Amino acid sequence: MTEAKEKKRVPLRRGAFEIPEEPGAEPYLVGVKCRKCGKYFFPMRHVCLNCGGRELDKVPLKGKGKLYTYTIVRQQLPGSLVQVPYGLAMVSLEEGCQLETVVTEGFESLEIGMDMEVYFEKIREDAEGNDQIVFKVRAVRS
Amino acid sequence: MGTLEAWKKMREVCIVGVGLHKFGRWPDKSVGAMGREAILTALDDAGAEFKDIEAGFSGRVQDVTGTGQFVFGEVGQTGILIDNVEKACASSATAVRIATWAIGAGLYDVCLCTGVEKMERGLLGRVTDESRAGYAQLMGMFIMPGVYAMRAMRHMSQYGSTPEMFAQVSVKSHKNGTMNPYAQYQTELTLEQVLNARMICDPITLYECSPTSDGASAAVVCAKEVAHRFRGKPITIAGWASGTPEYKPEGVGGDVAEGFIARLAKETYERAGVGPKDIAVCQVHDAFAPGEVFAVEELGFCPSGEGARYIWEGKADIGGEHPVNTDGGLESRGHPMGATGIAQLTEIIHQLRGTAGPRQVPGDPKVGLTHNVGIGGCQMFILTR
Repeated sequence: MTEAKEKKRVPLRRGAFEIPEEPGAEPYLVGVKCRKCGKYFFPMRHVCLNCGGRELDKVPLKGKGKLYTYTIVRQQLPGSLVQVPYGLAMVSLEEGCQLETVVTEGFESLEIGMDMEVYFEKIREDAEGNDQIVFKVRAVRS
Repeated sequence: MGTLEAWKKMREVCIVGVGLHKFGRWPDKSVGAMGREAILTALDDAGAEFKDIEAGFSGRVQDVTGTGQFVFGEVGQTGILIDNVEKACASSATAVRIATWAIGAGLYDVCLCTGVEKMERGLLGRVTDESRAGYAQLMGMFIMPGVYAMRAMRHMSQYGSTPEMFAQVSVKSHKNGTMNPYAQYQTELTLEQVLNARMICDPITLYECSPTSDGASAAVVCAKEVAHRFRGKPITIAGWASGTPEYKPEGVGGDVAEGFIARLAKETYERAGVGPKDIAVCQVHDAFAPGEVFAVEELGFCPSGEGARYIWEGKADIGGEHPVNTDGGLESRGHPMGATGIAQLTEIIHQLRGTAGPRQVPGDPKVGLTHNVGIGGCQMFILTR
């Protein structure tokens, strides 16, 4: 009798967010914060662009911000895992750094300036049957 | 700006010959063959021979290694310095700027600069090998029109510009292209045709995108004090600037934000000793139609936010206040990435010489500007007669 393998969640590509071990726990975006001047950066980096500081601490980001601008992509890019049409958005995160990502939920009703939130979902399975996770943004549900 | 004094001390540099291989689809022509034609045209235009060339700079984006060596080798093999130069879509303009520095410093009297490219059809940035593709590529974010589209959407939201105004850039571009025998597209398009074409990234339609292309360009650059040796009418490289977008502590920066082009424009004007009102004709980087709208603002032809209306009202037409892309620009002339920079300079040369034929800007133009953007950078020039 074969044992069912424990399905894991893994990021599609590492570095932008953490997935907690506990099966139900929410992933969260990670950035860095400069120890010297306090500026935040996403994605993570090693040298502060604001003050040149070399000590940047990995920090969780709230994943909330305002929609700076967006477009709706209608021409499929070969090899892309996201199917057209979808939104491509720039979000000014509360921590002061910017985020570019896709919008697959509610992209028809986007408005510049609206409150956005980051969320995580499975995009496909990898060769071992694990769920590959990506991050996206959507309008905050009021 | 420390280098202004140094620039003033350099020798005057000019372009004495230019040549193009028609941009378009040339499946049976190699990069060497296209480059050879452009080089021979430029040498003939200058009344120069390959043996006059003391150093060379070759612009190409894809498959760069060795390009300058074999393209130049089509025409001669004299043991000169040949550097390959890459700055994405601004590669051959950058090649000219490096030659300008070398000649201005007195290291060489005469240089040859080239630009070549052979491209596949379709969107750049597609995933060919998933194991090497990054997150942005896999998630469909690495799409070139996307950046311009996002900036256009914000422009519409902030300033009330409309999709029709952006489409007008393409209408003007294609109209000018009909008068350019070297242009890839030589057919007029109506506003309706542009607006109703397939939408790529809102608000940019297919006809607002520059195509992929094959082509080549070449320029003979020399010290003004030796220009008398050549037949081609010399046009002076009066100013230049190059740079990259800077980090902005206050918020969104990079390619979507405004600012770094305006900064480079100021540097270019300062080096040339002119201002925006002096520009009689210019070439801007319309990889996608909104690019022209942003450029006329950042070059100082009109205030921020007014660029779309400026073009809509005809002020960038051949007979307008600041004629832009008189030969069709990237959208109609085509965009073999490595060759575009020198093609922009070529059109300005013709305009200042008075040899642009049906595209000629009236009023005896004496000052021209080129604005050429590559991924993460920009190369600008001001040329004078």
